[in-house]
Amino acid sequence: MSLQGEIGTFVSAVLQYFDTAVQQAAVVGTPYLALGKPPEVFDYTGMIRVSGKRKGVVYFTAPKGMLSVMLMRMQETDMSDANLRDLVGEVANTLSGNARKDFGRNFIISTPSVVTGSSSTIGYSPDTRPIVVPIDWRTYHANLVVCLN
Amino acid sequence: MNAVRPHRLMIVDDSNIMRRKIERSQEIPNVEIVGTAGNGREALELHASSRPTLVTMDLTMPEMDGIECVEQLVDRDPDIRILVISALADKATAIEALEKGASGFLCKPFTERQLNDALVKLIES
Amino acid sequence: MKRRRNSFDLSQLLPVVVATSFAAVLTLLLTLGIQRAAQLQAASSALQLASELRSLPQYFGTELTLAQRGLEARTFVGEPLADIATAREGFDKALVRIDADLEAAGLGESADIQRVRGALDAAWQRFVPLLGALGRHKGSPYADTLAGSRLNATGRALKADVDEALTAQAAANRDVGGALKDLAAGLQDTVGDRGRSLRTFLVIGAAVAALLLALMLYFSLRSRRASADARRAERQVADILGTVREGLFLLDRNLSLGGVHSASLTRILHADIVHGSSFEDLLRPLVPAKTLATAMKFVNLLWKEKVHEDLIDTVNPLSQIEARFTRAGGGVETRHLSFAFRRVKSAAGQGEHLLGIVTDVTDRVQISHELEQAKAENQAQLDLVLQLLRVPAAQLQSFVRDSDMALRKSNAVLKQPGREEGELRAKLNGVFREVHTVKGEAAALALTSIAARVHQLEESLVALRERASIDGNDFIPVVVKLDELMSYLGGIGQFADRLSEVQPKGDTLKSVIPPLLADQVMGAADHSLEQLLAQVVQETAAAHSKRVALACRGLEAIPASYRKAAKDVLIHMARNAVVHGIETPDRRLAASKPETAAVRISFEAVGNEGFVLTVEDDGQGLPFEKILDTALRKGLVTPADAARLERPAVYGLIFRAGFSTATEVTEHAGRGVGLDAVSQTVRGLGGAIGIATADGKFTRFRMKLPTPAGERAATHAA
Repeated sequence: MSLQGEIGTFVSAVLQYFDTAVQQAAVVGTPYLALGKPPEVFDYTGMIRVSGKRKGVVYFTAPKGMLSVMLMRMQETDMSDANLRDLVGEVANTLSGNARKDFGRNFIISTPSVVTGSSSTIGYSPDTRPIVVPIDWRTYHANLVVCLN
Repeated sequence: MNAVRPHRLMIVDDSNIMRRKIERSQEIPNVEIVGTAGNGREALELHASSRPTLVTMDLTMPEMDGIECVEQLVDRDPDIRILVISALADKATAIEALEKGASGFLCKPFTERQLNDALVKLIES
Repeated sequence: MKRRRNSFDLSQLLPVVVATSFAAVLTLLLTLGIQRAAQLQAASSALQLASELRSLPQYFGTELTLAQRGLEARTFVGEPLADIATAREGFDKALVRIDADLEAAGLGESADIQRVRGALDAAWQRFVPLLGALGRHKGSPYADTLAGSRLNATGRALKADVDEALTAQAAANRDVGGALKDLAAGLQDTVGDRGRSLRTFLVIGAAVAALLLALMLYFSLRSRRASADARRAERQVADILGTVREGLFLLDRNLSLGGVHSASLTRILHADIVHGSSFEDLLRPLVPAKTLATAMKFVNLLWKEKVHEDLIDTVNPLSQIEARFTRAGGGVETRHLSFAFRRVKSAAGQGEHLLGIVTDVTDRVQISHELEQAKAENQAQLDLVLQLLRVPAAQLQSFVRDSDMALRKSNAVLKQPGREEGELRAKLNGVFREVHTVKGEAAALALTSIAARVHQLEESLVALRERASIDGNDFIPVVVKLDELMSYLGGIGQFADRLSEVQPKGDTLKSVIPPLLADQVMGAADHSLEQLLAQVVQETAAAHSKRVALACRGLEAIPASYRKAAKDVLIHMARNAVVHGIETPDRRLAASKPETAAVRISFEAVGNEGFVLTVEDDGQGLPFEKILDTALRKGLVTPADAARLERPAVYGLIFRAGFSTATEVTEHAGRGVGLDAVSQTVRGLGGAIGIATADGKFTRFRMKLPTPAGERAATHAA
């Protein structure tokens, strides 16, 4: 599968999550390369590591506000840190699930992990060019970052 | 041992090289080359004089192209067996020739063996 | 086919035929049996009658004797006479019944019986008149006198008749009795005979019935075994169809789908297969309309007996198709499918079905693509190295820097917010302009490998531009290609850096690089723009089989701050002039123009106002109609506008994004982005473009540029 196809899988996984779990569609912006500096990381980040044919990380990073509203739409009233971490971890879970389904045995996909705080520079090194796919939902803005080589 | 040669082959191709290649490579028993033609018009003249039963037909030729020539040959002899030989630029054109009554298609470039196999099948068809 | 079908039917029919003929035989036997039984009954009845009649002659004798004695004793003889009459009538009646019975017993024609019957009749007829005569005498036979009773005349006549009958009685007794005995014997034989034949018929009938029963039993067993076999075969076929990876299906003469297909078919085609639905409908979502039409023609060829199916494999338009399926979770998946068709043949020849086989060959295609790619990449690397070696390192480094900048700009365009369709299209055009500039520069340096790479990215942009609607998702291929291109250029940058270390300054690889470029490296920087343009013009002209002479004037006077922009603009304009402006040599000759066309580029100061950069060619001029047509087709103007537009405004359309009149897109020109970029650049510098053109004579672009700010200050200072 081409990098293009892999990104496609990740993007559809995220969109599918919004469609089914949150029941309100998200919109994909134009993807771009993170050049020169690490891509923006928001409050909560759910991440999977990929090894095998390609190596790197894929993560969904979203601001707290967005995740809170998502929780509300999912009839959840508890906006605790633990719940927000759970949610972003759920998104990462669908990333991992779809990747395992679509990519086959050439890839090894880790179980998702969650990072908090906006200062992280996840999986970034100056010689990589992560591909950033903006995900817009309501007035919020999140990123799906694919950093594979 | 020299058995009857009931199949009479006419080669239609505007390229000398291709004509000679076909002439050289055909060694199927019971096939005799009755002549070669460089375009559709010559092919029709040759058909009138030597009554071939098998034809190898190029598609792109000056004067009269292969498709029209196929149509006219089949018109004159519905039993004639025609093998279209052409570089496969356009499948639709090849299919048109087959619709007009050709029996098979061989794609250029071809090996001697492919040509022989194709002629054997042409006789079968 | 026909013959086979008949033999098949016959084997099915056999039990029925056998059963029917057996039943017919049985019916015949029973009919004959019933007939025999009726005959037997009739013969028995006749035999009984004959046996009963045998005692009658004796009886007549007794009664006659009684009558005789009575007459002699003068007693009443009415009783014996009446008995005789009754018995005679009874005999006659019995004879009639015997005749009827004989007839019923089928002995009407039997010579033996009829002879005996004739003898009986003859004997009886001899005797019966004598008996009949007895009845003639009416009245009392006696005359009663005092002397006693005596016979009167009647009595005497009666007495005579009785005596006569009595006399004949012995003979009659013998004859009639004998005849009856013979008849009884004959009938006895007949009865035995009929009985035997009846028994025979019944035995045969029973045997036939038993045989029939056995046969029916056999057939029913066989048919049960056959249907068990059929069920087993059916199950096996179902197993095969459920297991094979290929999609198998049958088509009839109308190209409708058969009822049976392999389970894989549904999976491979992502569609439900409906019995009787048309193959064309099934195929329609998978292939473009044109391929569909060709494919239907192709499949129909297989019905033509004259066409040899092995000899048309190569023209199968469905031998490898690329189908796009919507994925369950969204997104689109591209699969490569291969269809093959075989005639379904029976032992006797042509069939009534085509077997369709569809295989998902995506993996195979991908592997072969990857192999081809690897091969092409190796070749490309080699080509690239050779191309790179021809360009001086410094120039290469500058190219890589410029290109990197352009690609970063593209990326910046992508990064901008904006999710609306219009905004996305604007982004597309923005990326296009930058990328096109990179391509232009690569082509100018004869770095065809790089130009080809960039061309690929352009292709994906073009593909997007032609889509009816686009969203962010569609940009994924763009950003991936952009990434690849950046890596690629990064590699070239490294190569250029190393090259600059090994290439002594000034003295380049003079032996391997063209003198023009060597000259360019050694000569003055401004001089090199002229050389660069000359090279662009010559290469473009060569690629389009045109002859062009370039004349440049004043380019060395271009202010430093304009040099980069002027270079970009002039490369585009020069290439455009050659591709679009200049005619082919034969068309020029036909128009009585010199075979070699002229392209003139000049740069001059206009007092203190600024500068004019001019690019002029003596080609065919701007095609007014064609421009308008194209603009209409591309939706750049409305038909209403088109009618109103003045010539200059129409010419201005060629500077709009997305405009191109060249029908064939080449690496040299024809994207319509060149002039778009030129216009952007010139306007970016605060300049303006003017066009002058005459049909068949010339086209001239004049770009007015203001004096650059720094330059102006310097002038003022001086």
